[in-house]
Amino acid sequence: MHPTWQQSPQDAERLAELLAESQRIQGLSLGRDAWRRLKRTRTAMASLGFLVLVGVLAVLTPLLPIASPREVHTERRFAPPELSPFWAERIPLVDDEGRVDEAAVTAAFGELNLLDRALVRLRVALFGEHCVASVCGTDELGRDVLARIFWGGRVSLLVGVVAALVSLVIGVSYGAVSGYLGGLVDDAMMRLVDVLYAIPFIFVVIYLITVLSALEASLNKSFDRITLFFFVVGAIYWLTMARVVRGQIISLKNEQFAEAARTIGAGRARIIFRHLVPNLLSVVIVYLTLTIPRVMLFEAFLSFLGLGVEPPDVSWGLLANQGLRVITPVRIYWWLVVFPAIALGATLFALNFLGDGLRDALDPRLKHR
Amino acid sequence: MLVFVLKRLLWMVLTVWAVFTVSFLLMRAVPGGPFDSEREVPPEIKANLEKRYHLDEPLYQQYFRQLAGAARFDFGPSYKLADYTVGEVIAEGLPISASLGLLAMSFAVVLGVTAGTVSALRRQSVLDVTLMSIATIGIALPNFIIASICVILFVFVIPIFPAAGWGSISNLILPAFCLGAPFAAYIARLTRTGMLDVMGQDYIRTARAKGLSGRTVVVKHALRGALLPVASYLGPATADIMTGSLVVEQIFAIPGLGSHFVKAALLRDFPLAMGLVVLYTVLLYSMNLLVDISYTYFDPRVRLE
Amino acid sequence: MRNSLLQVDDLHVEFDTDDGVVRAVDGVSFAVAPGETLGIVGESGSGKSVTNLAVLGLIPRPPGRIAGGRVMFEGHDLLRVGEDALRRVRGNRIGMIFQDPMTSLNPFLTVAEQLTEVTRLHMGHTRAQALDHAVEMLERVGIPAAAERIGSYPHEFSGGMRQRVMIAMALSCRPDVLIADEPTTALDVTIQAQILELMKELQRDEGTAIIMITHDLGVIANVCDRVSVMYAGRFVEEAPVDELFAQPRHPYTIGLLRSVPRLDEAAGARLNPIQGQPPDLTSPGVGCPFAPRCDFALPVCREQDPPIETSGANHRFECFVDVRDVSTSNSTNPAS
Repeated sequence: MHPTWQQSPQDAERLAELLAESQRIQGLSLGRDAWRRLKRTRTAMASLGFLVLVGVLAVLTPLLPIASPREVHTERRFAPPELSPFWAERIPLVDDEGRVDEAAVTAAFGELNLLDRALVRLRVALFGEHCVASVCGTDELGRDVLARIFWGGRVSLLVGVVAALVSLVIGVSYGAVSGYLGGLVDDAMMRLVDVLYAIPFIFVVIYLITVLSALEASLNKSFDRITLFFFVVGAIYWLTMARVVRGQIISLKNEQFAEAARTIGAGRARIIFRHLVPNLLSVVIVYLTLTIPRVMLFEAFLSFLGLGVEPPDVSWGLLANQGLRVITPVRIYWWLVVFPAIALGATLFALNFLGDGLRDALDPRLKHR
Repeated sequence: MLVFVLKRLLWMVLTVWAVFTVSFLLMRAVPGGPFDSEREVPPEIKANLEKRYHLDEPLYQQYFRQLAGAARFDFGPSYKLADYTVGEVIAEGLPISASLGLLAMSFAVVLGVTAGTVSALRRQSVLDVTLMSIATIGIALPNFIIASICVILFVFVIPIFPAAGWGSISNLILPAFCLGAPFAAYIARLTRTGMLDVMGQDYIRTARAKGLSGRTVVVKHALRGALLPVASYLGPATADIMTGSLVVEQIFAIPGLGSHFVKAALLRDFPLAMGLVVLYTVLLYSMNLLVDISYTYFDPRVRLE
Repeated sequence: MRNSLLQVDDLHVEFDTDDGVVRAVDGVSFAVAPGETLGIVGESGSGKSVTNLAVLGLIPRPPGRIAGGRVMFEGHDLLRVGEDALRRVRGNRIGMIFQDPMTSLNPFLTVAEQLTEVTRLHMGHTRAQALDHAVEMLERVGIPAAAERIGSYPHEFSGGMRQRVMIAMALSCRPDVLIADEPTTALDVTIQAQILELMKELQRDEGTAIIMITHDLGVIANVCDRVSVMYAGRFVEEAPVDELFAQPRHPYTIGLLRSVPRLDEAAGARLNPIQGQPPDLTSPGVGCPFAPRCDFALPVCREQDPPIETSGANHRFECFVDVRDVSTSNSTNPAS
């Protein structure tokens, strides 16, 4: 009754067709498919472009011919934005013999690492001591707002990215372990997360910062607020990540490839981190892009309250705070508020759009919304 | 249900105790008393001060004294507001912060749900895109920037609101709006997603196949399901509104708990800061409990175990 | 067609997707007479459900779009009467039952609420009248202790009971036509039989015309008077049910009939599925859509649209080939 397969030319043709079709299907991996969809979302692509630009500028800030973010010019307090003369300002960076003066560099930009010093030297070679005019005006101490936005951006972005990564590592590990082990361990670990969720963490953090700054004062030692911030934020923002990862792991751990790894004797840690976690890449990327803006907001918030980055360091939150403090009914120095707000707002805006775009691209179910 | 509530209350007590203990230990980890770093005080005055704050007792005795006090919501006198106890500060600030917070929350829910629903029903229209862009701005911008823009616009440029202070309704509206705006934005997006999700459900098709009007379908059949994510967001939103109030009270010079907390943190007034942390923990826990209970009203399938 | 109640002419429905326009329904015509049961059979994605959703204007728009045709009901074209008039027909004159009773009832509202709102809307019942009527309907569809259970939520009912609730709801206003979209697919086999029996019984009592959409030929054989076979958005064959089973004329119908597993087959006998996949509806080529999978295909099948052939008064099909003339070793006695 059943047709026996005889290799006729027609059959061969059909087989070739089928083969080609299956290859086409396979060729579109999840990542590439998502990228294809992301490329079609114009807002997400614009955001990505903008963020790349911001990132590159932040890294290359020491190279740019801008003024010092720290130098005080009491004679030029609250100077409004000006475009001309565009190229007349100078900052002293070179000593009498024409070499880069390390002390002057430190005075102008603070302690720098090797890469940044190299960039400053390159800057001197390229532009000399010239710097552009105060196109964003100056603040109450006559410091150049443009330079402060650039240098502040470095801090804000660094805090956002590193702290988000810290929370990511904690969240993924915790969630993966909890989900994979299951049972009582899972119950206990998730109950802890529930309890931590119910604590108003930001208040605890502020309390913590208070205690630490008291310690600092009494020990006459200074903690690096930025480093402190990484740990504190990492400790808060991992909770959601842990929950999401746990859910994913639970559904993945019974898939055949995990079974296969188990049957060939792979250890637990290996299965979790080599076999399961890579499958979470899409979720993790989305949460990373959405956590970074939240962390940056939090940094801005703390700096605004005077509990975050401390002068002479700058961050966007601190700049906005300084701008707001000098608002009076008599005189509004708008440039002190508007430019930092635009820098912070645009970056956060782009991050949010990119995160949304990525989520839609990686989760096609939501595409038609 | 009763068992559920009792269980949750037990967890709350445990959590608050843990928060308290950690705070206490941290506070005591600072070497020396709170008055050491001040300008030189004569030894007898210092001894007096330490006696007043029971700092002369051994650590465990202080711990149990404070714990017993905390159980009665008595955190003793404030370090810096000389004539006030922590309880008095809270009694004064809580009504102010609570009314600000509740008004902000109402703004957020009403604006957010309306905008989200309209956006979902007019999907991909100009209105939808506009509303959702505004919502994204609201989520992306820090609330102090929104607040300062509002201050510049509505206090200085078009003076329709008083700049700062406390006392009348008009003092409350602008701060509550600024406080609620980011949450309105977030709720709008949640509602939109929820609404689109529900509108694609089979039971909405059934409702339409029955010949119900579009309005009935949306209001009676879709809204409840669409609001489930919003209801579960209200717990975290409470926490965020508490946080936001720190900034907003600061900007508008409102004498609520938020201002006190920031001051306490900056001036290292540990008893006050600790009292407020505990208070906020209790408030947040209660709000989460309320949200869970309200869930049973929203969704008949949910049973609290 | 003799005194047809609902008549669909040359209906076209399209969907806009990322990959282009999908022609989900591509020129479909049919009619049902009072008291008659028309079966529409076809595999998933062939456009059965879309056809009937389009009749009541329930296609989600966008991305869906009705690209042409007429739906005549009581002298009006339902595609053109407007939303208000259409609402007076939906649930009132034409009732609808959906596939999955688990998701088709609103989980947030009581059964009472969902049953009464339809009669209060269309029949002007008061709340009390509507409630009495609802209890009566639930009793008629065989729900025990209906008066007590009516205040329950859907999740408190089993799947079969929920489908009974759906049927009660669809029949509350004594509609002239009942469209049943895979009403038994999500149910257990024993429950399936009960539900089909119930529908037949209600049809006898009320004289309702039923359009039964299914991919299950057993259901068709059980309840239908006439059958339309749908493939790739088109009706490829239409016949009285006995004739279709006895003498299918379209190769696709033959394939369908042959792919049904039979109890009288020897143990271990292979199923005979139709080879290949349904065509991509975004890029319909010329010619018969079934040609690439067809055992009988001629060169002409891929070049021209097939003609509409008839056999007797009520049997029509779209095919170049007269399958009776083609003797192949494995196409004998396809009917079960």
